[in-house]
Amino acid sequence: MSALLEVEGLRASYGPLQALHGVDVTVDEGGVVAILGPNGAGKTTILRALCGMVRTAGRVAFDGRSLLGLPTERIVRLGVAHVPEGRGTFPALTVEENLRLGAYVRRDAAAVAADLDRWYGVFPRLADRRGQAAASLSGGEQQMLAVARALLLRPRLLLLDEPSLGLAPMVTKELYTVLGQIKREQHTTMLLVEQNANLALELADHAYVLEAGRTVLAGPAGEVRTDEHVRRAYLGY
Amino acid sequence: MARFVQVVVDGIADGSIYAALALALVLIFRSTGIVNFAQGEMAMFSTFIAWALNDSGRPLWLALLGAFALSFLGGMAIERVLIRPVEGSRPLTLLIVTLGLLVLINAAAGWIWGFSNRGLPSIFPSGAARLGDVALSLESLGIIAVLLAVVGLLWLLFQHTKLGLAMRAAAQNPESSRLVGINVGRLLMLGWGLAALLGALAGVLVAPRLFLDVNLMGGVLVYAFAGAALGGFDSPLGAVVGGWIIGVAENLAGTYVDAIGADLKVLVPLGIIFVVLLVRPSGLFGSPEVTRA
Repeated sequence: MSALLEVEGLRASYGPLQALHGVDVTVDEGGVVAILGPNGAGKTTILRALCGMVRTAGRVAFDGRSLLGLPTERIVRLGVAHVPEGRGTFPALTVEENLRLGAYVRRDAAAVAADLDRWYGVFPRLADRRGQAAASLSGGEQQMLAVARALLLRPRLLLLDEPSLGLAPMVTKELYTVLGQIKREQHTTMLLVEQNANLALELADHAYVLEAGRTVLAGPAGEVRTDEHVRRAYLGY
Repeated sequence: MARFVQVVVDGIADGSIYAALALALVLIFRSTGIVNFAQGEMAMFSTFIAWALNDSGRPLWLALLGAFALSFLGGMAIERVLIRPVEGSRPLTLLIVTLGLLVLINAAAGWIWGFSNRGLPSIFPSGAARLGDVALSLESLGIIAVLLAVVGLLWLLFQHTKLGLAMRAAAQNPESSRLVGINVGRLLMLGWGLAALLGALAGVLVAPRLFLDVNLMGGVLVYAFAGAALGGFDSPLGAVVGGWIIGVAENLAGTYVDAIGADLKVLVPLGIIFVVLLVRPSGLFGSPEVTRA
C-alpha cells in the first residue's frame, strides 16, 4: 500500500494561539487511521488544517500534491470529504438537497443518481425522510446524513470528526457498523478523529495519540490498544 | 366600488415595484447578513444608465437590457471590491460601508448626469383596460405581470437549479458549503449582481411614474424597507407580500383618508415598520431568529 496522505511537521494556529506543534500523520490508500486524544489536544484542528480552514504550516501531501494554501473548495474537488464536528448539515434544506450538495462538484449526473439510491439503501431512515428539512432529523439521523453527504462526493479520503459525539450508544454502534461496511466494501480511505477510543481502534488499522498539539504515540491499532498509557487514559481499564 | 378596485390594483402595481427592491434587500441580507442601504441608489444609477442609453438614440428595449446587464456586472463588482474586504465585520462597520456607498453613488450620479429632472418613457402602452365600469391602467397591469414573471424565474432558479441550491446552501452555512466544494465568494458576488438587477428593474418601472433625478429611489427604498420588514427580512415570499401590502395600504390611505392625502402617504410605511418592529420583529414570514453559522 502506498501513502495517500502524508503530513509532516504540521503546525496550525488560531490567531496568536498555536494549536498544533508539529504533527506527523500518514494515511495509506484504502486504510483507516484514527487520531485519539483528550479534548483540546488539537484533533479537530488537524482535520481543519487539512481542509484549509485554519492557518497552517508544514508539509501536507495528498497523492503527492501539496494542499497547503489551497482554498477549501479546491481541496474538496481533489476528493477530500470532511464530516465536520457538529455535522454541518444544512438545517433548512431537505435531506435530499443536503445529499445532492454532497455531489456538488461532480458532473456525472447518472452516477450521482445511482449513488443516491445506493446510500438511501444503506441509510433507509434517510430515504423515508428525503423530503423533510434536515433540522427535523434526530441527532443520529443527522450524523448519518452528514456521512452520506460526504460519501456522495465519492471521496478518495474521508475525514470524520468525532462522529460519535452526542449520540446514544446504540446509535453510535449502528454508525460504526456502517463505517466498517464502507471500509470493507468501498475501501474508502478514512482519517478519523474520535474520543471514543474503543470504537475507533476497532475500525482503524493505524492510530495516533495526540496530546497538547503533539503526537505522543503512533502505531498499528492493535499495538496502540494494548499500550499501558492508552489503556489507562482512553480505554478506561 | 370601481374606484376601490382601481386603487387596489394601482396599489399592487406600486407594491410590485417596492417588492422588486425589497427582494433585492432580502437576497443580500439572507446571504451576507448585510442590510444594503445603497440598494436604492444603485437602482437609481441603473435607471440613469437606461435613460442615457435611450437618450443617445438606442431603442428603449435595448437601453433597458443594456442597463440590466451593466447593473448585474456592477453589483458583482461592488461585492468583490467593496464588500468582500469587510465581510463578517461588525454590523456597524457594514452599516457605514453601505451608507458610504449610498452617498458615493448619489454624488456620482449627480456629477455625471446633473441634478435636473429627466423623463424615462414607460415600456407599457398608456391607456386602460375596461372591465365594466372599472378602468385598470395598462401600465399597472404590466408592472404586476413583470413582477410575477420575475418571482417565477427566481423561484425556478432557487428551487430547481443546482446553482440555486448552492446559493441557498451558501446563505445558510458558508463553512459547510465550502466543505462540499462550493465557491462561496463567487456565489455572494452573483447574489449582489442579481440584487442590482432587481433594483434596476424597480428603477425603470418606477421612473416613468415619477421624475428621474438623483433622488428617484429615496422614497421607494423606504417603502421597500417597510415591505421587507413586514414580510420578514430573510423571506423572499415575505418581501413580495410585504411590498404589496405596503403599496395597497399607501394607496388606500392616500385616497380615502383625507388627513393623509398624497403628501403624508409616506407616513404609512413608517407606521407599518414601527408597528411590525413592536409586535412581530421577525415579520410575517421571517424566521424568529436569523442566525448565521
